[in-house]
Amino acid sequence: MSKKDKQSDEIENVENLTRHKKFWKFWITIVAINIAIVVIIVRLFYIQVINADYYLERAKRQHQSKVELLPKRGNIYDRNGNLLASNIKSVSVAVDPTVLTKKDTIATLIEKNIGIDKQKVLDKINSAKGAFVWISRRVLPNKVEELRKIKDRGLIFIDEPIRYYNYSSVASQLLGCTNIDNHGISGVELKYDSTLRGQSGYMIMYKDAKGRLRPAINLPTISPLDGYDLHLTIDIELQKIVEFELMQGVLNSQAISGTVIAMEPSTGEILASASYPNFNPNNSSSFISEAMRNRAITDAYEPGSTFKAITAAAALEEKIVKVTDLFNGFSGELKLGSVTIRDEHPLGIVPFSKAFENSSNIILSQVAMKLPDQQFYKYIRDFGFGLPTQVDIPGELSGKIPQFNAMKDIDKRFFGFGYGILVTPIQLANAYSAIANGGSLMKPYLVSEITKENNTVKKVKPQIIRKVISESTAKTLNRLLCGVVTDGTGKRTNIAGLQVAGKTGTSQKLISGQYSKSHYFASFVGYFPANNPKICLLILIDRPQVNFYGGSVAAPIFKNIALRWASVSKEIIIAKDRNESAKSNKNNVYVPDLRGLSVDEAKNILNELNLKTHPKQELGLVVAQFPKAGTIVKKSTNIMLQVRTFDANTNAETNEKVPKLVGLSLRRALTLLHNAGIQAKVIGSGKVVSQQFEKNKKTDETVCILKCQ
Amino acid sequence: MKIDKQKIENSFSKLGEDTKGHIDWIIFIPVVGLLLFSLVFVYSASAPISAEKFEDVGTLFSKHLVRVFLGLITLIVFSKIDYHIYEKLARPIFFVSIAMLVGVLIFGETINGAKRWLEIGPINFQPVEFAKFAMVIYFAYLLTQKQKVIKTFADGFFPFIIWTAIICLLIALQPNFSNLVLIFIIAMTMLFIGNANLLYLIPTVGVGGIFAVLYAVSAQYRIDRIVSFFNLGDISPSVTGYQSQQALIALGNGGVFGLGPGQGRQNHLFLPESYGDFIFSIIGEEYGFVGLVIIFIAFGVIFLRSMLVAKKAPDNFGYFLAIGIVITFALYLVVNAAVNTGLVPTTGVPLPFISYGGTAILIYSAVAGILLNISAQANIYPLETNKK
Repeated sequence: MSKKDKQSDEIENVENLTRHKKFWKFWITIVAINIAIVVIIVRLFYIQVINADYYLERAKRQHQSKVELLPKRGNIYDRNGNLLASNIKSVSVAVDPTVLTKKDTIATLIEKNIGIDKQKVLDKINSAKGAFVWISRRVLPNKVEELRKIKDRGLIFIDEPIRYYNYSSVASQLLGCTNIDNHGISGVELKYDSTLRGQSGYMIMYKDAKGRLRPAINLPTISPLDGYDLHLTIDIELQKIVEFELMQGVLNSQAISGTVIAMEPSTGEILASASYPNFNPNNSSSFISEAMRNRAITDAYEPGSTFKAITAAAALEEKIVKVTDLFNGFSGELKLGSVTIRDEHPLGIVPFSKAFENSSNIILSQVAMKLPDQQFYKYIRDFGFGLPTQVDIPGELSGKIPQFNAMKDIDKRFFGFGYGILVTPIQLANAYSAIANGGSLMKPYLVSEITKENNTVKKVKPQIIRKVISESTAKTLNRLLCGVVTDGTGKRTNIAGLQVAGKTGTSQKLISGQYSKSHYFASFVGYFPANNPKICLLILIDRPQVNFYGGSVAAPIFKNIALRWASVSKEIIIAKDRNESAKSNKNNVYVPDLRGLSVDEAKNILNELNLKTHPKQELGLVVAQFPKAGTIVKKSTNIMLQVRTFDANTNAETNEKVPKLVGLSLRRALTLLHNAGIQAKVIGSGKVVSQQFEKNKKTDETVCILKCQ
Repeated sequence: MKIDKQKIENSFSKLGEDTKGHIDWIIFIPVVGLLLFSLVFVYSASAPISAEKFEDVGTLFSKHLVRVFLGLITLIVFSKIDYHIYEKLARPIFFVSIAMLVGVLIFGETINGAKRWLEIGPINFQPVEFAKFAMVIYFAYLLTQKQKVIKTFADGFFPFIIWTAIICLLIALQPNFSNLVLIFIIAMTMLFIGNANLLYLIPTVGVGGIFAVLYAVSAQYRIDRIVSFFNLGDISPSVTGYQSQQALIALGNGGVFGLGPGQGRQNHLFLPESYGDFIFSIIGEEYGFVGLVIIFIAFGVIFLRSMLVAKKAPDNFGYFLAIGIVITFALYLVVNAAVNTGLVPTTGVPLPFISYGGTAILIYSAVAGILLNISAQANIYPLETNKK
């Protein structure tokens, strides 16, 4: 034993003896502490090993957040590749009221830039319960620039693409529109929503206790699948022409609405279709169901005389009637018991062709009586009436055809000239297309191709539903329909140099079992060029006020569309000889039709042709021009343009200051001018043949000079 | 008493001499290890909150870094100071601590309805952290002095009870329930090991228990905590129940091996005190069950080694001082771990050497230094001393 040990032993001996005896007390304490530690470790084992899954799940729930990655909605193009609908950047503004501090400044800026009432914004923020409130969805980025400068943790900006329609209201009913969540709610946008929409992806992000997200590299991300692009059969240029002429026609005839459908007879492709009133898909405040309906598909009406072609087709195909067969027109009045059938153009004993040209109800009713029920019914069905055409536009009606076995003779007679049956404009246009293409009923369609990144995914081919009539019957009908235009009720569609085939129709609306004396449908359906039809076009005007005959109301619209389309289209050429004569004299130019174009567009066209113009207004649409389209003038001639500032969203009537008066009765013309607040000066009497505006230098008021005959 | 004086002189003379054994590495290494690892833990646990409050992930960490550095210096300095000096200083230290406890009631800043923090110059600290060790030192001294009369009531037992009561009363006035209970337990344990008469000790513990219950139910927030503790089924809106739930989620999310350093999610503002009283859970999330067991092993090594130090301490003062220190460390570890694992209601008790927390690190380091000095004089390295 060393010295040291002895020394320490000594110390221990003196006072540490009792301590060693009582050391068990410290020992007990340490044991107690160790027991506590063991309990805690057991508890930890329970939490971290045995029960870990439960807490793992809870942790995942509060740590991770699934963030949706939005796909890009597919674009929509017309048949020539013009972009109709696409997506542009936009920003949605939201707030978190729990941390928002600069409420007042933000509300003021929102009122200033976005245009939402300040008080409304404040109410929205103050009444909010959660930590997230939308203030304004899908606003153009420049409108939030000022807001972005405000530093407030409670102000949230979210990038959400907005659907943008390049041509605004043009083709709006066909294209449809999307709702605030970018889902299609009408038109192609609705029908092809799942195709256009694509598939959302998602990204799992980490979240802190305040809900703020942070990307996590180790967590899964599923990329979104962008939507497919659609290529439509429509031609946006034709669509523009159609819509402008339809609007003019509806406004001039003071009708409540109108609809047009243009199809390519050989394929069933829809080239254009529109209804008026229309809406602007870029402006959700114009989303009124009345304006969003494409009446060519969603509305059925009694076709009246336009249906006579179907009766004729059945009778000719079944060889019950030949065009040369003579019929008695009963001088325009056929009494059958209590019912009288009248003709607008009284006829005596005439061949069937003449009766058809003059749209004789009496003679067509006789033809109907000659047709056996079974056969008549077969042709109606074969032409596609009573069934939806299954065109790829939502909301199609099937129309209604009567039951033949329960039909009275008188009903069958009326049926022969288009009463007692409900058809949609597209059904009728499709039936006429069948006549135009030589007898085959096509399936109409609007989407011709689905692509993704310029690769074709699906191509729609024209589809023949059935052969309805023979080639020869179709040719016969073609001649009859051409006769209507050249010699019959459709003379107003006659275009020199372009052969048009078509049929007028005027029908009364059935209102609670009675045919209305004031509510008419005026229609014209036809196709051109008759020898090689490129377009089958149907015009339907609902309740025209000025004049109710299809030949007077609908036919001019048809003619205007045909004329203007012919001047734009490469396929349809009018009057080669006239064009050549203009070419032969280099100083002479044809005046183009400028109506419906913007002033800028009109100026460009005139410039190219070396013509001049000095319009009074620089903005707006050309509504009238002098000299008229088709006139041959010398180069550098000044073309006078009448321009109207036009906005599709405002009430059309208030803009309708200058009605088109040509063709109206003098009384009617004066009433319209009076309503528009324009003074009139009348030369002659009868129908108005021209109208011209002059400034009264003394009063500085516009005076309209009407020449009448 | 003569012998005592001789011994004190003896030990003073031994200061810095080779005859003295050196500190116990088996205590030193785990303590330094815990302090250094606390840097990693605190950085991970505090970064998101620091970024939120100070817009810089490192603000809280750099403060902690400075304290750990100072703590290590303190640890070494105190391990070099002969612990017998505290026999002389015990009474002054104790009275300073009582003065601080009184001072905090007068000058203290009220945070969340309690006056716990005292500001002296640039230092902002909780006097209770200091007071508990001041009491440990003073009681170690008193027990040494009164060993011969310890079984009597008036001379032996009564002085301890009076001081315990005064300290407890002062802490109760803050109020600070958890530290009150812990200090009472430390005092009673020291009396038990210090051979106090069980006839007096047991009734005192009983009365203290009754007082503790009465005190506990005297404040609504404590009732709420207790209620929420027994209602752990869902995350209740009450903050304490929420904290407890979040601590369990952190532990469970960590599983056996943890998510890895810096991969914890619960520190992202889910656990409000993630770098302080709830750092235990964050360690559990990032290092898993295995990591926590290693922490327990580190503490276990300190405790067992301290037992040996106590047993071999050269005198009763060293013995009582060592056990007081070990019991305090162990109690705080156990209570902190119990709170984090949801075994007891949520209460603000730091994890020794690891939790971020002002001067606590310095005080714990100093006390660990004292323990190391006792170890140096306890002759637990006989081979080394034999060479001399």
